[in-house]
Amino acid sequence: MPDMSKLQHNIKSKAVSLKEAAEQLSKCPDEKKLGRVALMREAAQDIARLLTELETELKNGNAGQP
Amino acid sequence: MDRLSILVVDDDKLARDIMGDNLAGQAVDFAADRISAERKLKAGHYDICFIDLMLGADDDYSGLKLIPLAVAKGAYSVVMSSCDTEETISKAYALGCKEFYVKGNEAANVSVIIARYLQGGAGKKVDGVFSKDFITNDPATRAMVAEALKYAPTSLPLLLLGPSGTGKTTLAELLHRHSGRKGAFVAMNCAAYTEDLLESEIFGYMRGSFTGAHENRKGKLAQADGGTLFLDEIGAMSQAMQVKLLKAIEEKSFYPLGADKPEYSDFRVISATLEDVQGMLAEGKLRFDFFQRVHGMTVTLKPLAQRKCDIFPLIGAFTKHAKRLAFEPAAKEYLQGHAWPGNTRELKHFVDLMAAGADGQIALEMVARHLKQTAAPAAVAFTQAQYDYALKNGLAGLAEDLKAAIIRHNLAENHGKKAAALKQLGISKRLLYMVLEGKTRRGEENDHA
Repeated sequence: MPDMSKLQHNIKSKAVSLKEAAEQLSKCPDEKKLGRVALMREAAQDIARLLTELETELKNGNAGQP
Repeated sequence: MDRLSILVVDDDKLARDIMGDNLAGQAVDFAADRISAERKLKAGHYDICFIDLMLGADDDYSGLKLIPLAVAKGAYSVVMSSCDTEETISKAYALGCKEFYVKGNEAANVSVIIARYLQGGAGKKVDGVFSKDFITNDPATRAMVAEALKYAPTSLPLLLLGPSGTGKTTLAELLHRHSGRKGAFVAMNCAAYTEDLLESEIFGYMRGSFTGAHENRKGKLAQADGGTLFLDEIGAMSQAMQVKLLKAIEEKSFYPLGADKPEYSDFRVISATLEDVQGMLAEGKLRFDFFQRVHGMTVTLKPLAQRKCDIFPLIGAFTKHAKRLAFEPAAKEYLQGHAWPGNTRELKHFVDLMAAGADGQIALEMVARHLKQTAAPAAVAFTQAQYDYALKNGLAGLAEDLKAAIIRHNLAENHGKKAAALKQLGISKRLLYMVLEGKTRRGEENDHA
């Protein structure tokens, strides 16, 4: 069974990075923008995967720490 | 500024990429896990080390283990993590990290951290400040400025108080230079504008917004984007203007005159006044809500008369790249005795005058002539103790005692030479002898025959 607090931490950490990247995208140098967007997509996919894991855990009755 | 050597330890690719942008201009190295971070820390030298705590999806906060190594290697260690439990924070500090941030505001936090490192890093720059940027040997002033510099990298407002010419603008510029803010230092004296002009000067205007507005013009708020807005003489602003500015400071957005869309500016406010703030608040000249928004940390600069140890270091600084001056001993004594009502500005003006003269060797006569010509009318001031004394003993009693005290002080300054006291104070021999014999009596005020 995965550590729920770590799972939640990972979601939070990835989401924060994604938000930060989105906020700074306009300031990102043009030559880096495509690469940055690719990294953002990767982060979004990680978040989606982690959310699926979290969902599964919750359905299995593992509510984690309050 | 030399480039800083920085190590960023973070397992998240995107986070590393963003940090790379935030640290543009510095020599940045990256590590994605504990092992490679340890290797890099052992092999190289880093000024600052940013450490994420959880290095991997199932990691056990191994970033914590990197802190002692980074500290031992002399790096200024900063934790940036999404894990901010009280326990983790206190553990990180116990292990030697200097600052702990929750991820999510890196763009702003990183510049603050770098500025703090540069300014406070081993306290290396503070002493230099007092011999170059803000010249003072006065311990109390040094302590005050050093304290203010700790706040320089924050976005907190600062309020500088002190009489005209004590260095408020110089200090504001110094604080800006230590803030790490990349934008400009924009200074404006609120007393120099009429109400309408002040508004257009602060907020800017759009073409056609009033007669004579032939083109769009950026106001001071927009000019200070990413930098510092220094508002001198805030007491000169009307209440209505204070309300408008308060809103702009709070929201960091404002409408230039004639604009239908707001503009945004990330400015930091440093304000100053030579007036008594409490008095202005009591009179309603300064709005309390506006005052609360601008006062943050308050720095009160002493007049030059209360830090005479600074006179000659300042003269040295003013003539550093120009003609040097040598003062005869009597001239030096005169300079020390002068009240300097115009403070550093008056001293600078005086030095410029002296340096413009033909002779670099300055005699007493020359000093006395110039300082007497430029002397401002003495301000009538009294202390609370004197006021209390007058209430208790009557005004005549206070005046008599004060008169005697001044005469005795002047005699002491003139090494007991009565002729000098008579001349300098313009008093009668009778009054002088009465004081010397301890026989002063009330009613001598007009005895100046």
